[in-house]
Amino acid sequence: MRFSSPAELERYREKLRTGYDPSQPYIAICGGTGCLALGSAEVRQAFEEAISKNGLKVKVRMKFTGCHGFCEKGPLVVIHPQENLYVSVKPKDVLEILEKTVEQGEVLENLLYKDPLTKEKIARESEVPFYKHQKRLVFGMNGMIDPQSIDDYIRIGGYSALSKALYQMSPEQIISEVKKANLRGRGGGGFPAGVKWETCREAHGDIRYVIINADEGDPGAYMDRSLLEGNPHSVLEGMIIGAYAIAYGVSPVQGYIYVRHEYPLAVQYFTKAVETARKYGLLGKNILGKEGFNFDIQINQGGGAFVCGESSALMASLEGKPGEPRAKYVHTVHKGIYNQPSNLNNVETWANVPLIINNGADWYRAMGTEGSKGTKIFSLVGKINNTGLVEVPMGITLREIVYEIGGGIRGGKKFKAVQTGGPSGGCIPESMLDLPVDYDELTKVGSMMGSGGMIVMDEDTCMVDVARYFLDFLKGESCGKCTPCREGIKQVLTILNRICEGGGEEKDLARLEELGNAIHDCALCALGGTAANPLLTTLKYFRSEYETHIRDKKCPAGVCRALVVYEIDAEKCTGCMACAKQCPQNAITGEKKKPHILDQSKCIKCGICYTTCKFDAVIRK
Amino acid sequence: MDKKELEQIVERYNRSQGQIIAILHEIQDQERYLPENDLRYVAEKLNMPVAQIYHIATFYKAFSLKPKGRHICNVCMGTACHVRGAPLVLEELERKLGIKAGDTTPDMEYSITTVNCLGACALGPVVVVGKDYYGNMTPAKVERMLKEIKAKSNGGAKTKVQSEPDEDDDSTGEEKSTQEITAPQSEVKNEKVVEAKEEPEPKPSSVKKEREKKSSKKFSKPSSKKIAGAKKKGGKK
Amino acid sequence: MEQENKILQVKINDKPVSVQYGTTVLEAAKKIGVEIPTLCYHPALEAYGVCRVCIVEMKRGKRSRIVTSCNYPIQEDGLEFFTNTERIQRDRKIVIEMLLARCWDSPVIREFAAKFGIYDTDLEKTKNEQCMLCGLCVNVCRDLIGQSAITFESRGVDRKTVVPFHKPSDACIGCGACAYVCPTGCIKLENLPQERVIERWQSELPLLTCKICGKGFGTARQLEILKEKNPLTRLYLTTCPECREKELAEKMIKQGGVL
Repeated sequence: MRFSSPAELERYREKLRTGYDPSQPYIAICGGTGCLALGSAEVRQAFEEAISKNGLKVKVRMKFTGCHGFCEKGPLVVIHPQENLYVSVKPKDVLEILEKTVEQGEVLENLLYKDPLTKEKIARESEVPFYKHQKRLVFGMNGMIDPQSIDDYIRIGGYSALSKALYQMSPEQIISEVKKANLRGRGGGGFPAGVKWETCREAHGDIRYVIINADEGDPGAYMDRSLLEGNPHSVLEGMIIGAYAIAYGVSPVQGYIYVRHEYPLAVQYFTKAVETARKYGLLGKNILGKEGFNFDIQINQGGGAFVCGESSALMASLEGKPGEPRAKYVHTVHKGIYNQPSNLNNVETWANVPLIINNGADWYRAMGTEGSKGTKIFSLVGKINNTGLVEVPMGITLREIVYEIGGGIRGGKKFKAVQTGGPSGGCIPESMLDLPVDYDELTKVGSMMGSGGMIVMDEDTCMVDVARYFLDFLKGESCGKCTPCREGIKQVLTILNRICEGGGEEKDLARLEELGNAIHDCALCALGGTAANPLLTTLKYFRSEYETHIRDKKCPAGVCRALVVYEIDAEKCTGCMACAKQCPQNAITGEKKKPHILDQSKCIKCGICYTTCKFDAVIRK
Repeated sequence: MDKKELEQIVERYNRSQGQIIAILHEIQDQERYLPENDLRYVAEKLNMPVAQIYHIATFYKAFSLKPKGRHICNVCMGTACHVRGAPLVLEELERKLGIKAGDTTPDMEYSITTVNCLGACALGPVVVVGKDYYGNMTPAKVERMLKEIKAKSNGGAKTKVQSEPDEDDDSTGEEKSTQEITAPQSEVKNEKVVEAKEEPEPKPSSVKKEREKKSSKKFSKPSSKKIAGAKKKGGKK
Repeated sequence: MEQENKILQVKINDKPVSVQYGTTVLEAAKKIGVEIPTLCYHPALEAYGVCRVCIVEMKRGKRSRIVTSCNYPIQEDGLEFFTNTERIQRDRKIVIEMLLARCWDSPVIREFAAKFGIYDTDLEKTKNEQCMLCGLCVNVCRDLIGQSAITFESRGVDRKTVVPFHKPSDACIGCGACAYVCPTGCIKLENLPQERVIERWQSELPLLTCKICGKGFGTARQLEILKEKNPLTRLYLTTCPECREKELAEKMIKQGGVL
């Protein structure tokens, strides 16, 4: 079935829609990574078995969808049309769900989300605070479609933007619309996509390349993965529109997607999307019947290199070379792959395009701040209650995200910082929680939007250790080409390690700043260029923690093990043996009902006894 | 690998230098490492200098020039797992196996590798071995995890073990799934949550289709089509 | 393209200079006698831009940016470059310190650092390392000689120049270009009576001996390759440069000043 005109596509869409009864019960089982890791595949199996064994009294539709976002509460199951959300579903709950909820519309209280503060149980997905405060435009359809079905995508309106772009707009008009909408790169750079497209179109070259950057390397960020696994066609459609705008009438155009090796499912689903799109005439020659618009896409994988998320390194990798960046004094949009004009955008950026084309730049501009329009997907992780993927309008404050959507800090602990922008970003302290999510606002305070990783940290997080963690990460990922990144990060890390092990000296802080600034100024690429951010922001906002490590040889958060001592208070110890059982080193000895003894020579400072003891008998100094 | 197989792989990728990474992944998936002779042969077939293929094989951390162990323990070192204590888990694992991350035990049974974020942050700290996810890991659970891996590989009975988040996670007062677990309360066992894909199942090639057929995992084709033959009235679409 | 023939006006240290579109800052500076220190730069090769010693401060309106002069192409009018601002001095000093810490055992790097008043550093020093990873050896072998006998391995702090698999390479022709371009002299080339040895690459190649004086003057492989790429006379392939010159001179004299 090849669509050779928008009319054919619309007829097909109509057919799909009439064949779809929205009042029919529909079971959406979340198959995103988080839920999978919590057992949603078994839940799905249970559903399938139950249905095939017992049959059902009603016609029902069931889909194993992409990520719904509320990873903390997985496995997630949503029953439509009533939009009944069930959390932490187990295979043994399945029969009851089918009998009571699906067949009779009854709500099962024990599977509902319970608000920890109000203790209220909430049945409707959209009323759960986690979802209520979000604006799920890009991510929203994940729960309604089977990511492997192009028909599902078409039914909900897919490829209508492509139709409009090819037949009702010129390439220049498309670029103008995307510029007007001020869609900025969602991979972290925040560069205006429309301007990039325009520059690429006007550059000199015999062929143009259009690329999806799916290398998503920031640890703790998995938005792009969930988009590719949940709604791959949305990304593909955006890219095809982009290819048209950039190259139609100017030169041949070829597409690439570069996916991290650690995402095999994303590769699988996107490959399927590409194959079915080809079959439907939405890729290949004369796309949707548009004479002369030929475009196809090759799927490339990464080999485990964070630096390949950098555009010039990614392009080197696509050429079959080691993924080393090069100077970008001549931008890749002018000379990229094989020295031809190449337009690279992030997965989420591409997924925004069909929305802008369908709804218009004005609609898009109505959301967000002056400089940052639309929505952004964040992966909210760390010491937060509601771990998951959230999509919020630009301009929302960090406080709202952490407390209203995130539900506050795990275990009732005190908030300390939120880290955005991954290893290129910085830590934002409590005093700045009212900062709006905005490219420029975040950059002003020394951090950056980044690809969307938002790591929440509490009183038990050591900020010196956080700086050390990121620099250690970058040390392993540096390509090693240029002196400041290769040698500089190593030297900074040496000093940080020394500080965390009790060897800090007064002059260290000034030296760290000096080295950090030189790395920032002189590095060859953005990996090195932003490597100092975690260090410099923690120095700026948490200097006292560094000073405590250096002067007092103590780690206030109790993380740096060389600076922490655990002791058992004999007076409080009840002799319950709980800590002794948990100690991985068998460093605690003692009999029942007698105070226990902690052998310091065996203690590895893991802190398990501290968190296990219910009597506050373990002291951390 | 024999030359014919190598040639087939290279042909499948149209002898394209740009697909070198995919080609090397296929070789490594089968051989558990990249043998020197295979690399030299592929370089020849692709018209690529040996120096270049060598740099590529040593540049990308997914590749190994030395054979890996049968069980690769992949410890997630992502930021979320880090703030929840992943380094301690890694250290304990290194202690128990007597090797450092990146190495393999002399009997070629275990390798330890680290990876930056698997996207299962709600479960952190996470260790993945093959297709099994071990979530909410602590140093104390490492030994049990290793025992389970051994039991599984010796064809032991499927130990359907459950996991509970550590007790300190409960203190928000939220109802956690710990309530529903049937394991005796004094023991804290590890959950083996089975996810279909962290390892090489899906590949863009015909080899993949064969492998999927062999896989007994139901998840390999998640789609609504499975219920087509259901007894209920009418189809499900 | 039209713009590639444009002449642009820029300033270096407040001195005006006209350059063709695409000229690097380093080349422009040379034109007006402004010296910028370099380490990994070699005029015969495309600038790799990795040592970061040749940095300059570029001002465009109110904005300022640090760029490497060896490979920054001038593409617009009105740019201003400064080679020795306080910021540059600070940054350059740190970069050189980092190199010094790495190549503490390299007399060449120590001498270079001394020129900037840097005799020691509190940074952690590496032992027995003389290679500064400038890439000249790898690049000359690949781009100029066309043999790609050597390469980098791994990445980050583990990055090293090596011969693939740490085994002698069939592609090495023993031409010695790598040793010739190496700024620190850490690639040692030795001409034994019958062989040329480049220890770093485990290369041992037989030398051709001069038919006149008997001295070894080039590896057989090297001459083979040269022959493939260039029309060479028998004289070139059988005599060492000194004897060849003498022969040619004598020939010229015999033929009355004409060859």
